[in-house]
Amino acid sequence: MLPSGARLVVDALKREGVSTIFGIPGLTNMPIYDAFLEDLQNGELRHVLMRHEQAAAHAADGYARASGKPGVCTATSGPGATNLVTGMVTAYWDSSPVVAITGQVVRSVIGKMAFQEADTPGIFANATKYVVQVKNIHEIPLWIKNAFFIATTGRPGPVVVDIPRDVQLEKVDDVKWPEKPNVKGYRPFRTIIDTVKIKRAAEILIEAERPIILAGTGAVWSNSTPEILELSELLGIPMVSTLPGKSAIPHDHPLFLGAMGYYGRAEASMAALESDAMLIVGARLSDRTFTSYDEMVETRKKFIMINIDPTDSERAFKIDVPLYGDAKVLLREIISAVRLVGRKKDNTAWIRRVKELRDYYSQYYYHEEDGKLKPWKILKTIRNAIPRDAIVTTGVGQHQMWSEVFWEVLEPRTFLSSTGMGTMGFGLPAAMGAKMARPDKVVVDLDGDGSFLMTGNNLATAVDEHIPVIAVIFDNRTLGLVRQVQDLFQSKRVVGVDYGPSPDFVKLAEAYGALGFNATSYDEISRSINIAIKENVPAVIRVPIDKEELALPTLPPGGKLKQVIVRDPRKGS
Amino acid sequence: MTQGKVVRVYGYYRDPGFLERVMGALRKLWVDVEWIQARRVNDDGLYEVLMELKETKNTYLAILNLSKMVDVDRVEILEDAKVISHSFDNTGNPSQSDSNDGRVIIIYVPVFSKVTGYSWGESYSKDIR
Repeated sequence: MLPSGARLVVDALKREGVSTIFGIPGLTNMPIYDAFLEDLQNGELRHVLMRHEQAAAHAADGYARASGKPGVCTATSGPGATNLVTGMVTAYWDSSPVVAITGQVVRSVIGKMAFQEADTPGIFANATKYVVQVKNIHEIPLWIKNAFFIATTGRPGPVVVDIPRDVQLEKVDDVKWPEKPNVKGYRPFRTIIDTVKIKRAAEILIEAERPIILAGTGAVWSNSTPEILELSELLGIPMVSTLPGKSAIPHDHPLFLGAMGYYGRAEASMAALESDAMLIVGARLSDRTFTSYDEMVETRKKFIMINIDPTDSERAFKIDVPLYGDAKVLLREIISAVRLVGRKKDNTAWIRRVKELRDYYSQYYYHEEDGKLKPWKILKTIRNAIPRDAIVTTGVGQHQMWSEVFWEVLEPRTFLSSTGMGTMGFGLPAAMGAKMARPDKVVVDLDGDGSFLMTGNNLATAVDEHIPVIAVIFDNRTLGLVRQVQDLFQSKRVVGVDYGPSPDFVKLAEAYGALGFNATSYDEISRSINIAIKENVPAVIRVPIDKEELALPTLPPGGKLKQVIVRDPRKGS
Repeated sequence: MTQGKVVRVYGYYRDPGFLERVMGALRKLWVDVEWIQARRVNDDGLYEVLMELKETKNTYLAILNLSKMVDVDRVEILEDAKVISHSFDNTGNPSQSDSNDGRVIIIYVPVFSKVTGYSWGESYSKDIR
């Protein structure tokens, strides 16, 4: 029997090492489902039937971030494809390799407002790293290979392959499987080892009195945690991270200060400002990390930047030593150069200063309040209840900011969050994707009530398909982060944010067939997690949070890092 | 010399979406286009897009972004370009008119001596005098 286009899609995916596909079938991607039925039956592929395509993309994204390998999702044409958009742009902003296979209406009706037609190439052109519409069956093998090549090389990112239904149904008698990708007009960025620049970078770090390392997403994707730690320890350089860069550095390292930035730890931001030399590893200097470029430039520090994308060093301000390529490789070169040049400066005073900053700001963080569960202590309780290598995801909102400040990442690739796009609803499906990628790990979604409900219907999938993730919902019955800004910076004009009593999260969880817990004490949180891990089934743990609880530290809108607010301004000085 | 930056983009055309995406890279950074001309260069699908971009604080970043967009091979800035316009009538003969009554075609020809090119994170400079 001659293979169909759909069969070629499935075989091409398998050739790329794909074993899991998150998706929802519809008329125009149905031939692909038909083609992989036997692959599902013989266990070569696993399909996870999500309840919304946005969640399929987030799940593929979570799979990619947890495993380091591309995640795959599929959707039908029209609304199926458009529902993917939020998930794909989320992956794009956080440099995550996701490949989406979308069905398209048959070629004869494309562009004619056919039933369930959407202009997928037009829609995704600016929402992904690349989108390609396959014109005939012969293009399928090459373009699936190319999609993985584009998604995983250079700055990783999502790619859409849009395939008309009639192309999927075509037959071919001569399949040409490409040995390698071939994308005209695309080249992965090279790693450039410029020995002069490497030596200069080493000298700056050695001669600096107050050096600091800033780790970003690129540190995660290049698996350069060991090199960052080695360099930090070699020269006694404190480390900070971006929010996504949290996933790169074990937080129990004595030289790590935490994530800096808008809602980051104040001591990390202050140390970043006070430093006289900063080594940036795989961060693109977003407005969440450096809220004001001028503020950074005014410090007159020296900047060394390692980035896979050379143009990133041109975006913000003058970088003294830009280094381009794989962070792991370049850090090894810097370490060798440092060993060659030798250590000259004593950083003791700087390390002492950093410790002072840490101690000073600690007084603002760890407060107890009678009758209220405090976010920092909830996170500490969860941390103590799950293994060191457990993976956590987050939604978006106050709980994410609390996680930024208080969640202790102990192993690389164990903190997954929508940090660039800030997509509410990311947490649960991303956790499901991470669990599929790393079934041996405990996976916990740290979520908010608002964020959870945006994709919470996928709990049905978690139950049906036995994907035992634990969602901890910080339930304050409000869109807390928006409320906080209205309260603090918009003259207390709180509007459009407060929820009523619906739903009851315990009953909701039980309706889906998951375990539901109402944890009103730290002990109950701990106990609920233990039960959920033991039972190995999906679980929802609802934790009540006071509506008035703030996500601190924060900045005034448009503020600079030095304007950080660390105590509740409503309570006076 | 012209007020804007004259830029030449070489890229591989798969469908008209190629031009859409080139324009999208400019639109996203609010970089306006004064004029644009494009043509197919060879049978391999290589296209040349020539355009004058308004100088803003984002123009250089837009050029860098273009130089790392899938399908784009390279972007060249035609340094210190002077743009000469030529008018032709509907018979293909030179015309003195610059009206927009539909009978006159105006093309822009950049005169330049040096290009600075950007391609997937690498840059080069060519003196072409």
